[in-house]
Amino acid sequence: MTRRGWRVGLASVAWLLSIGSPLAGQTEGSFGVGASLVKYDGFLASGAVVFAPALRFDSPRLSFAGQGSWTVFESGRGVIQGNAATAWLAGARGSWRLELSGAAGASEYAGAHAAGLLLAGARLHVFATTSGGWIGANVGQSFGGPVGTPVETVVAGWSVRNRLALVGSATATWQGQIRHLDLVAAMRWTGPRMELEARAGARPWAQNPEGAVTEAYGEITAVMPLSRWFAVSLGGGKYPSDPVRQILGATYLNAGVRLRAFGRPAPSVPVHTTSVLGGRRVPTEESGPPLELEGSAERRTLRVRASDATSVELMGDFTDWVPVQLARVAPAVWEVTLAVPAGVHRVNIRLNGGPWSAPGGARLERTEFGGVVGIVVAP
Amino acid sequence: MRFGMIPALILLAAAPTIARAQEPRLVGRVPDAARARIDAILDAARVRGLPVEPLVDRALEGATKGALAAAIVAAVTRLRDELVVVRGAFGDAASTAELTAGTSALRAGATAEGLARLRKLRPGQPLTVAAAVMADLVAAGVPADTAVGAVLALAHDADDADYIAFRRNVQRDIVLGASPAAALAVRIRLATEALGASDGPQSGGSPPKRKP
Repeated sequence: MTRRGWRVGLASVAWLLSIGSPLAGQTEGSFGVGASLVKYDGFLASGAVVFAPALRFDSPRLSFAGQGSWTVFESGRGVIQGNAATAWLAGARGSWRLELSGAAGASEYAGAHAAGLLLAGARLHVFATTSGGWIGANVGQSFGGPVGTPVETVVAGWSVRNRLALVGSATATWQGQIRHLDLVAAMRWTGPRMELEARAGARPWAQNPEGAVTEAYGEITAVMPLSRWFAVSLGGGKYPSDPVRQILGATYLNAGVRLRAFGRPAPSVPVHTTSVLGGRRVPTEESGPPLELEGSAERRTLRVRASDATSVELMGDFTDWVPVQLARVAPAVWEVTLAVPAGVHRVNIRLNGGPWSAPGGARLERTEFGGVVGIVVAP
Repeated sequence: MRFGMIPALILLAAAPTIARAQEPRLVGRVPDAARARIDAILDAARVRGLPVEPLVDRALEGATKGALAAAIVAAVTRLRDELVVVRGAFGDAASTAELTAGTSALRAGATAEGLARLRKLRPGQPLTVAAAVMADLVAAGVPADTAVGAVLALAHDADDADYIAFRRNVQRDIVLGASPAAALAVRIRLATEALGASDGPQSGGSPPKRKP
């Protein structure tokens, strides 16, 4: 592969990764100011003003990117967040290269609620002259958020033709009982006076105990450098929630300017209004499928939905801790009717004679006897 | 002389009763090495007016899970101690369900003071669900003092359905990516606004949206 090919390829990869990648190097500092109309999922639409300084260093093997933002909403409440990321690219072995990355960040909402995130990732890239791809995975740990270790796996391909770069990716994310798949197609067109970025995506499959959300989304951003030091950006669209980075899904319109304090010309990072932190629950084998309760204290139906089960049992304080077999009443639906008094109960379930676990969605409590028990409330 | 013998006679009469006070549900299930000590704990609990049902349940849980006798006794003893603390917070009139929920909250990180304040703010109202929600919030990642504060903030006006809806909404926000503390802050504001805007407790539906 030619040097130009490597640079084109790496530049394309870098564009895709919010965690920076090695590029031909120097340092760039900039400051963005923007105004947005944003509607987060679960909130009313609100205007917002965003201040966003950024710093980036790139060398052929190593890159570093730091970014902060202060977003002030109409209500007067605000979000302050900052994050830093670094990536190291190993030497080429044929058409293959390994990239290792790490990222850390923190955010605070309304002056009181703080959260943080550490992420580590690895990617294996394959490059041709104008196309390539990678497979990779990220794992992390969040602080001040839900306890757990999120895991992401990605497979992606890209192609560059003249001014146009195209990328397609599939990302599987899971954490505990929360799992989803994102399919994204993205493009970047670099014209003489404007840089256009767009992406369209879909979350065709999602699973979580609180109700899965499948959706389609898309964003477009135009960045127009007006001088060596100054650029204007316009953007809008919809993006999905990202529990790993603690981004709440939203629909938005924004306009911003970015001043380059030093470094390279042609600012390429539009002003964003979203937080970049996140974290969710740890994947665990301690939780089974959820337990549904219906009926009154004297006669409650306890239901478990388990598609791949050949037997389902439960035991709890209301069975005197004697295992009770559930009956299959429909494909993947198992039930038993018992007297379960109103109150807080301790329950274990197991599938196919395997280990006892807590019902999904129930509060886990570690017991003195080893293992966990699920705490459920019967109203 | 005769009067001096009366206490001794009473003791003699009571002795066989104490010796017979074995919990039948433990027989054949809990190891013998643990059963005598657990029976003693149960007897003492009865004397103090504590419910023995949760203690028996805990012993059975340990036995079913194959725990060693010492571990079963330790677990029952710990629960007994927690029941004492919670009854001190909730009062002598607290039901078994309330006490059990309180121990669960205590174990999750709530304090005896927080539980006592909950009792004070909800005089004459059941505490089971409120205490359980308190524990659930802590387990969801909300700092314990914040969770206690949130449950107390709703204590005056919320009924059980309100608490359940509140917990569901917080957990849903967390699943969607909000931090537990942020989700709690948003939902507590919405819930208190909704409850405060009415003459009485709400039915538990989703609270109205607000600006971020």
